[in-house]
Amino acid sequence: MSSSNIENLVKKIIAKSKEEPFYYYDLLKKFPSIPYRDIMIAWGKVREQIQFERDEVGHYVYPKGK
Amino acid sequence: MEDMRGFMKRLEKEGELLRIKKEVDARYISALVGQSDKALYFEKVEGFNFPVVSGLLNTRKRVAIGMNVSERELGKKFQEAIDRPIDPIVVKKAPVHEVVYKGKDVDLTIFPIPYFSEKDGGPYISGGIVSSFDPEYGPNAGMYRMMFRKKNETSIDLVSPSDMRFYYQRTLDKKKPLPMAVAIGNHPYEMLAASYKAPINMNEFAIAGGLHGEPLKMVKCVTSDLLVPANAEIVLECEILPVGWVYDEGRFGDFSHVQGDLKWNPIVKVNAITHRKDAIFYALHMPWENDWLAGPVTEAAALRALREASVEPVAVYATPGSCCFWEIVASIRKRPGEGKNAVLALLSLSEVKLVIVTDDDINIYDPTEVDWALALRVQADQDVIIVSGARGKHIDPSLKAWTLAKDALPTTAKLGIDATIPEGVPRTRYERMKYSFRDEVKLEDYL
Repeated sequence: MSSSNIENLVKKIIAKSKEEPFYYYDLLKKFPSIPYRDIMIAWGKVREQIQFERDEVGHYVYPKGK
Repeated sequence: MEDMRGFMKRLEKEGELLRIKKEVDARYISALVGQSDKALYFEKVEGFNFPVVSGLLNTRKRVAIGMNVSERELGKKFQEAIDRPIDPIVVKKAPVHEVVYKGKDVDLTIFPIPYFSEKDGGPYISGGIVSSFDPEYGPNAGMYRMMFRKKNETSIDLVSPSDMRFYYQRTLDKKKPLPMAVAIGNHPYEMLAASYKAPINMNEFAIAGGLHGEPLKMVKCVTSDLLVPANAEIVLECEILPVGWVYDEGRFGDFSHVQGDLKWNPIVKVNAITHRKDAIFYALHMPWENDWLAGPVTEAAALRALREASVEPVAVYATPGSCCFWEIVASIRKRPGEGKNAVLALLSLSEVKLVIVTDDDINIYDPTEVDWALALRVQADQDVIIVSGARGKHIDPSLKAWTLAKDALPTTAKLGIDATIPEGVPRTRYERMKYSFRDEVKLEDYL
């Protein structure tokens, strides 16, 4: 995947994270046609931008007030 | 000396490893291995240049193949290696140094790091042997899970007490990182040795040498003085940052077969990646590979405890239902009183919370035989021992560890059952029925 497509995926993951708490599994299910490696790469970039909180069951939660 | 590839060849020859030639999506690796009664070697993984092998040690039989002994001799062989360790030797050149990435070129996403369970916190490096060093206490090796975070960053689970946690605390006190290296794709002997909580001054790689019967070849890392197995497939050269237990890690489908809790752990920066030109990524498949790695270690500890109690063991079995960890069934050649002595000795093992001791006529690998001994040789008011307040393990839900104060350690009750023939009951009372003429006829002659 090109770097611009990775950046698009980063945006999509961040948008999804704002909707509701999620597991990494939800990303793999949400983007079934996107290669596994691209999701790993995008996830790494997302984590550089967003300091997710975690809820009591381990969901990633978009930080409040962001 | 045999490496992981040699072990894979033997597994394949024994019909215990299956090659998958069709390209596979890495997100399905864990589920596919879970459906297989064989280890799986995925030759093509979509989007990656590395094949993946997983499930190598998913059964006791495969551990026995790896250790070149029968399934009943795992603990004995492991104990012999502890008794006769062979120090490793250092070599200058190593297959694992055929390809080197450093600094900005480090990218963990080149590897098909699997995602195992539905509620895991991310992809996990599950089968790495983690090496570290302390100037006062020497080298240490253990197996620790590492969650992928970024292309050059992971978490590491250092919550439980361990030598490595101790080393990290010492460098953290000085506000310095702890250099560590992660070897992925090793022979079962190296993984078994690393799974063993050796005394702090004992080199786990010397135990691996004892298992091999010759010194393990090790090579110095390219960015630190740490030594790693020269024949590993992949090595990550890292440092644990001096941040303390503050970053989210997990959840992770654990060796206890439950989805473990979210934890707070340090993070790891990866400074270099080295690997063989045609490296194979090894994914330790949870929970059974972890469990069966624990089996020989637990059984060796049980044999040691019985001998130190002057009880003669015939066989010991860390039962799979207890994740090869919490329950020991042992058969002994009993003299009066030794059923109880054996129970007490085995209950002293730190992690064991259930113990059953039988006589030497019971096949302890057969649950029906063990139940028979429990039914006909036990008087609950005389043969059951319960010990309260012993050290427990957080991961056991029955201990309600989540109700404890942070950093508090849970305690557990332990149960031991002396299922040997009671004193005063003649052995003849347990004479087994035998079919008449059983040696003179064969059913197949009548079919």
